[in-house]
Amino acid sequence: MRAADGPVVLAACGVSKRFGALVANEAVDFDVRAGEVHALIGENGAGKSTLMSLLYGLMHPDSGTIAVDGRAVRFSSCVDAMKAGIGMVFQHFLLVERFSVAQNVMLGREPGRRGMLDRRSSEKEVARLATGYGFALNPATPVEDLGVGARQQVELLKVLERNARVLILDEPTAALSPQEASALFDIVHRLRSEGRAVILIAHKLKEVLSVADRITVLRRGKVVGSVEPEQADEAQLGLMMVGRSIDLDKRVPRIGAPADVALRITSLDVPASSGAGLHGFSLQARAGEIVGIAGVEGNGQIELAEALYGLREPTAGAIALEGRDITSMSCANRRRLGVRYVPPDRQREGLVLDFSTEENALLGDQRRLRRGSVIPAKTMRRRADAIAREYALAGYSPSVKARDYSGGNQQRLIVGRELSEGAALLLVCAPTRGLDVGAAAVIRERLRAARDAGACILLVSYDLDELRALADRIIVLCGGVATGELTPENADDATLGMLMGGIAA
Amino acid sequence: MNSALAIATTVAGIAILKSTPLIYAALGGVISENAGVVNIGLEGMMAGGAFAAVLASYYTHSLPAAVIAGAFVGGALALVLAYFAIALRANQIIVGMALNVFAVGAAALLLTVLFGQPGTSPEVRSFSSIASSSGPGIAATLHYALVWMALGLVLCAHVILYRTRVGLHLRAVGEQPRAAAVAGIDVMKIRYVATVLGGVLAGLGGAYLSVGEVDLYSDGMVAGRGFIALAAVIFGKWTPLGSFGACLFFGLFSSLQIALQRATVPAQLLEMLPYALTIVALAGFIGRSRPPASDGVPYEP
Ligand SMILES: Nc1ncnc2c1ncn2[C@@H]1O[C@H](COP(=O)(O)OP(=O)(O)O)[C@@H](O)[C@H]1O
Ligand SMILES: [Mg+2]
Repeated sequence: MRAADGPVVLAACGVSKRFGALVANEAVDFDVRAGEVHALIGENGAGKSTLMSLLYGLMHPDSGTIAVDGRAVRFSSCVDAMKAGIGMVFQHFLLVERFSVAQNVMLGREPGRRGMLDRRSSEKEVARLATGYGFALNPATPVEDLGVGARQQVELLKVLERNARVLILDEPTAALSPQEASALFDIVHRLRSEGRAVILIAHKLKEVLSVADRITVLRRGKVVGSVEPEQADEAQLGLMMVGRSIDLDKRVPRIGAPADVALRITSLDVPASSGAGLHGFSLQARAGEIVGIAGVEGNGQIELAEALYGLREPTAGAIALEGRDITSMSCANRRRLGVRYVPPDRQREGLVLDFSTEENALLGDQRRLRRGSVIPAKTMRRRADAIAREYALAGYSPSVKARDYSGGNQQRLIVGRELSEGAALLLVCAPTRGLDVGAAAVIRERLRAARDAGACILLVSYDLDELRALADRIIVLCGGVATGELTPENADDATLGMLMGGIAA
Repeated sequence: MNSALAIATTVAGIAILKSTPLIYAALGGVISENAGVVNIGLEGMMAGGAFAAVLASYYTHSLPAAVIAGAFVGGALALVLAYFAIALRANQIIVGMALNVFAVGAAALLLTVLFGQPGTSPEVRSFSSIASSSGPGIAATLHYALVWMALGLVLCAHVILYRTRVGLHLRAVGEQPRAAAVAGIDVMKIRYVATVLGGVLAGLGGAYLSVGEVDLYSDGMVAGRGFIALAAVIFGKWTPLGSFGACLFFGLFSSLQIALQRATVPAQLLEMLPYALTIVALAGFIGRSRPPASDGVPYEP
């Protein structure tokens, strides 16, 4: 299986890159061989994407060299890198939403005569390529109609159409469901067996250990070391990444017993947003308890969370919080009762990216914290400072825009805001998706602390390890219907998988 | 019966003539906005083109020279917009508005400086004057040369945008410039060319107003047509054919306005209509009208 003794095809030799005073890469040595999957891991902001930009010709190193097939090169842009057989799938997809799959894949290299487009032959070419890799993509579908997993496949096709020898995948699994991620890893294996070199950036150590031939760890711009997966485990990699040991998935017992029932949901029906909707869902959850909601993405989880927060109106059923009926109460009034929400899409729903940290830290409580018609600057400042201190917000200043934080810090800010005055009911969706271990550990620790402080927490997650590590019990949704309830001890992958697929355990 | 038909034909004919300048300008807007540059300056580019055409006709007595001068000045004004919007990443709306004020003001100033008469230029050789000087037949064709050209350009623009590589690349640049750049497409170049081309077309629309429809330039003669053209771009969902249809529609109302001059319908009501319809279009009543995703967004490489 691990036959990575092909020649080195792409290498960075002692490269450094600075952004002003910030050293993003310092004397980094990194290479990848033909027929090898080389994983690069490190915390958010460790400099992984920067290193990839250097390899792909998007930026130039301040010092050091990039070599292809052992010869030093200087790419003037990524077009040169592509010519040298390097292809990259970016962390944030670069697709033209309104164009079809085929138009995106062939962009810049469209077949046709005398400047005219030949749609049919380009769709045929893309269909051939997609079928070859087992992608169920219709070349004529507009990309805007595709889900995350399919978009990723389009990005891969863009690179494969150019027959790249080296593929750089920057956090390809961050937005994927576990099923989609494992499908992606099958493709990665396939690419390796075709003799291509793959550089893979990922956060989930388990994934990394199972697909990579070699793992290099980057911390604060420097290479900490390279290991082979046979000689490493998650704990060791975690230690290398953050410099202290972290066991992300360890269960931490609850302090004290859960109290009375806080949340009572009776036969709730919620219309669908993008998923399946929710049908006849009932649940009682106690204060001081974390109820995990498992399921394949789009099976009613988001509808449930949104109905509880007041973003989506149920068509039937009732929701009561601490004995009060809140079924048709507004979000603002629910917040007054202590309902808090960590949404699944932190950049779109959790933050206003162009607002400052202070302003973002205030969102949702702006009405309550005003004095007359103004919000005292001091109140805002104090709140933001407290969150920054408690959550170790890297690069914090009250005026920094939310856009300028890494994903991990953005999520710290959201969770910090939602928990800044405690919560009666906390709704959390995919809270550590795409976060590095350090940030994920902070978020999980805070959720546990909120539980111990008496919050009733509903945790929607697509990460089964996360559910087992945090939840006191796990409810599985399939097609908007609860198909089972498990204790974390009984929730092995097989059982969960069956319930998630709608097969009774 | 016969007279009703005659009235209908006249109204339709005038509608086409009235929509021609709008078609030029709207086509210019469609092209630049599909590449991601909003051109609020169409009004000013039309005014610049109208004045330049009169000036060229005055000095050379040549109609081709007049048309070329109109196109050239429209393009030159657009180049200013392009430089600020693309190279300096300035706010496109503000630069466009500045150009409107500048072009209209400069034309007014030059009227006084060159002709010594504020308000209007002297009469010059125009498309309508050749109609009276040469025989019928050919003259009629020549008279309407600019109208035919507008129709031809609509078809050209449609084919280029949707059937050619360069058109696809242009739309990619207006939708997701970064993806285009990574695919090896020169985003800056395409935006420059599209913006200047848009200005050239607006300039042609202006030339039609001054030397096509009448034979002089007067202050305020563009009279908001640049903005109506922008409305037509939106109403036509940023497509050449759609905007063409919208321009014909707006032209029909100008034509009715002339026909109903002695009727009881206030002219202002009809003048208002294009804008009201644009609001309707934007509100989604004619189906979703959605601009290119990066329309108006400066690109930073
Ligand atoms: N273009 C840039 N300008 C300034 N700073 C940057 C730029 N790109 C990245 N950085 C900074 O460099 C550091 C490394 O970033 P990055 O390579 O994106 O990290 P990673 O991909 O490992 O999360 C971060 O602190 C980031 O803020
Ligand atoms: Mg990154």
